Amino acid sequence: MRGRAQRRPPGVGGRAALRAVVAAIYVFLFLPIVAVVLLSFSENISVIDFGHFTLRWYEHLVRNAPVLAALRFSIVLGILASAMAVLLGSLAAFGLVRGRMRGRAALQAALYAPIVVPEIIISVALLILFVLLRIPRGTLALVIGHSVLILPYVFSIVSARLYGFDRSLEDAAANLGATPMQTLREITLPLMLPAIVGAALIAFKVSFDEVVGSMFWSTAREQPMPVLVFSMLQFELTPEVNAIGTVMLAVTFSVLGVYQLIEWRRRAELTGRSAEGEKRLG
Amino acid sequence: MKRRQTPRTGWAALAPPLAWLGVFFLLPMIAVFAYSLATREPGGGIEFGLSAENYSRIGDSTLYVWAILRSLRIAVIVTIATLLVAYPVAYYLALVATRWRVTLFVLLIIPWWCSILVKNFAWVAILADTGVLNRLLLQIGVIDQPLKLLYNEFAVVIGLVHVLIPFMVMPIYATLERLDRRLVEAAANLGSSPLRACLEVVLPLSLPGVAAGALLTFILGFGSFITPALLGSERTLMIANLIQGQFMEAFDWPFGAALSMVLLGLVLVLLACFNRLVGLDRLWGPAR
Amino acid sequence: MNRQAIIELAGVSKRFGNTLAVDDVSFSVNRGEFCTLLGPSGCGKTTLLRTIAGFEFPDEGDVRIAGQSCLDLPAYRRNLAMVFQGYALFPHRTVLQNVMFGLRMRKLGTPAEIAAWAKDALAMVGLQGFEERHPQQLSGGQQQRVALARALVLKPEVLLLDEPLGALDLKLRKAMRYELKRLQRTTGITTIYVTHDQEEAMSMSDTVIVLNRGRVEQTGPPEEIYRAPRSAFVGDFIGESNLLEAVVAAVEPDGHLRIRLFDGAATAAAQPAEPECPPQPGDAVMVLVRAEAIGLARVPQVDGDWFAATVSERSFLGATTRLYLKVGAIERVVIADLAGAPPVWAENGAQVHFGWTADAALAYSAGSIDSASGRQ
Repeated sequence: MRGRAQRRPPGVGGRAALRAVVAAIYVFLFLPIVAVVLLSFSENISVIDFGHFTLRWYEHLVRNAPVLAALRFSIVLGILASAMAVLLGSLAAFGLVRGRMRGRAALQAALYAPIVVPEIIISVALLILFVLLRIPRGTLALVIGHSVLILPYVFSIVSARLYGFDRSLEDAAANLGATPMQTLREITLPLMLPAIVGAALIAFKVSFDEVVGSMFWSTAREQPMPVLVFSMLQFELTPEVNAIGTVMLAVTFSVLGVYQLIEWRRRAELTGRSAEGEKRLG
Repeated sequence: MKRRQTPRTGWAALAPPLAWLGVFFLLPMIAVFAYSLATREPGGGIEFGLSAENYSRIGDSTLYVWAILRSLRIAVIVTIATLLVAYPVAYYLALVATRWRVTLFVLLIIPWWCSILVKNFAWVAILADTGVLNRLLLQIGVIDQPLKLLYNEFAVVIGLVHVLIPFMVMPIYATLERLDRRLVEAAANLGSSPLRACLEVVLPLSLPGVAAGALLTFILGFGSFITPALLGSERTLMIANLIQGQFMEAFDWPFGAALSMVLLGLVLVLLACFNRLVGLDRLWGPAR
Repeated sequence: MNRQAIIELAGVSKRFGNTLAVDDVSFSVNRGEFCTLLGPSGCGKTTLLRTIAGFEFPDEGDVRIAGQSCLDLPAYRRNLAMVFQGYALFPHRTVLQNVMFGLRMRKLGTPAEIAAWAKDALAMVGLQGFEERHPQQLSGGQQQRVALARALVLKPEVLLLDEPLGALDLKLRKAMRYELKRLQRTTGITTIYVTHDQEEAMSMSDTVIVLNRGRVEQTGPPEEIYRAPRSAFVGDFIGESNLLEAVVAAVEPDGHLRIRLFDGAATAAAQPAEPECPPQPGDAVMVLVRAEAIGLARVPQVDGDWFAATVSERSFLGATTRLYLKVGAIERVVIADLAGAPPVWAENGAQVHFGWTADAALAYSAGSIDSASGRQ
């Protein structure tokens, strides 16, 4: 679309206005987040009246034992919950994508239901169930609850990749003598691994940032980071809160970074290499 | 004679996740329903029964009815505001931007990745009396008293819109991106200004995506808990806050369950209407 | 039971939903034979190949390998090797690992033996030195040869090929046809080849099976298919032909037919496609005349029957020139292929005359009209 007409095409003014509006919206989206990060380094905890750059809020944080404990707990919980969700979500994806049963639309709706039903309802409902089943609040309850909330994300990612999977590779493996188990182990799973890892990373992120459910299912001693932060924000506002927020952002961003790296490498593998091959002739 | 047993192996793989959801998603919903029909005993126990007492309590109380209506109103305002903000972004990403599309897309995902706590709290820092906005306006001299921008409905709406923009942009972008470019170009070529081409051609075609985004935004806004808790006040309590109050402060679980059923009922009605008009597969793609 | 036959299909039918993809198909392939399943898309040829391989299960009929029904055998237990249309090379394995895969799965030797055999197979297809590359780094032609090596290294009973040359450019395709044929001759392996390209089928095969809409139209060596097509479809599908409507005017004592065409004014000679039950006077027939059998003259000659036409289009095809002739009032188009340069007087718009000998025209009764192209 570049360099088409030399004279100004109609609506260029409109396009500039649109661009300005979109830019403003992006600024609106980012400004608050950037503000929090800036505040975490500000002596006076103020953007306008910044003072000098300081790391003392982070120093406070490192000495804040409950926060560190919550951070550690969140990471462990995230790993456990995402492992559960990845296992169940991948099974669901394989079952729905490969199984040619009827009622697939309804099954899909059932698998996505935890996303469309408001979190507060799921939180309350599971709390009731835990009481009825005499499951105590804490790690187990949190892993169960998180796995339910995360499952749709894993299902979505894995089934999307599975739909695009080249079945002829599995046919070729069978034709060459591989049993269904061998095909799964040698061909399908290795090629699905990037998607499954990606789903695991997303699952971890969702668990790490989960607030409402965690509130209902945790205890004073077994509580993930967001619950601690939420009660801090509501009741006892300490100056490190910006630093805590920035740390939470850092964790989720490193997870996102790894996910993007895997995606870029996978895409480069699929396209970049065959471009090399084109240079050589038959 | 052996055949490819795909339907059966499909069900075998689906059994564990479906069982898991059956026990830890469906069963809890039934439990909530059962609780909503129960009554709280004076000693603290629960007497199960078929009492509609909790529901009538909701209907009789102005506090709760007003809270539900307020939640609906806030959700509607948030949905409309988010739509107005998100549509230009989706339009730009899908139909205008070429070189920058991937970058902008990633830039859109980044706020979605940030914890809602961080995002909401940032608005506390910005909208407070001693916050960034007020300090700025005072310094410039536009005002001489800090504006009351926090702990009211305005703050809740701003906070919700900020959080929900990506949820509105995605479905609209997905729909616009799949449009035949030639339709848009043809409309633009036939003499109408780009704005008219947009309104008369693109907008109607993007309605399913708009509906999906609006549905998602509405449900998330209507049932939101954190944002009204952090950015609102007792006068802006939304239905989720009330439910939490019943469960964690008043410990009247049957009543809280009834409130939850009201919320769930409204959401299900919305989903059913959406399914009838547009189809739920707009939200998550068709089952191929 | 034919003892030479290694693959036999008997009465095989297969339905997909409401569509009958394969309709009562029976044929057999002999050991060492290069047999091609030829037909337009949707004719069922790929379904048949996949049924032989074990990826599809017939609704009716039997499939036998070396005399034994293989319907109880899943795909991974049949001693067949297939080269897929998209090559289906495993992207996460090296070229050598790809070729070794079947040997490993079927446990045909020690790791060292397997690696050695795989290297030999790669050498046989001319790809020594490529062992450590990944499939994505190879060109289409190279990938195709890896797929071939991967199949051949197993020394299967039968080699199955599903339109393997479709993605290659013309020159490469022609080179690969020669390569494949040479490999097949050297190894002596029974080969079943699927294609819609009739030139490919004719140039490579010992036997061609022409399929249309799930049914076998004709089986035989390429020359027979070309010279004696048993149905109008086969005649039309192979080579460039004209299918003309006509009515039988008379039957001559020597068996030839007098047919009336082009709005009934003129007559010409033809011979019945089925001499055992020839059409009778008054019957409607479709007459097949190959483009290269059309003779061209400026004025009607004394011998034979000549029709007047106008040259409406000329296509220069290199070795031949294709003329499109518009006949009289009804605007029927006839195609004539002339070897070398066309005569000067046969330019666009010129009035010419064309005709053919009786032996070059085959008359099919109207019932066998099932042309893939739908031309009349």
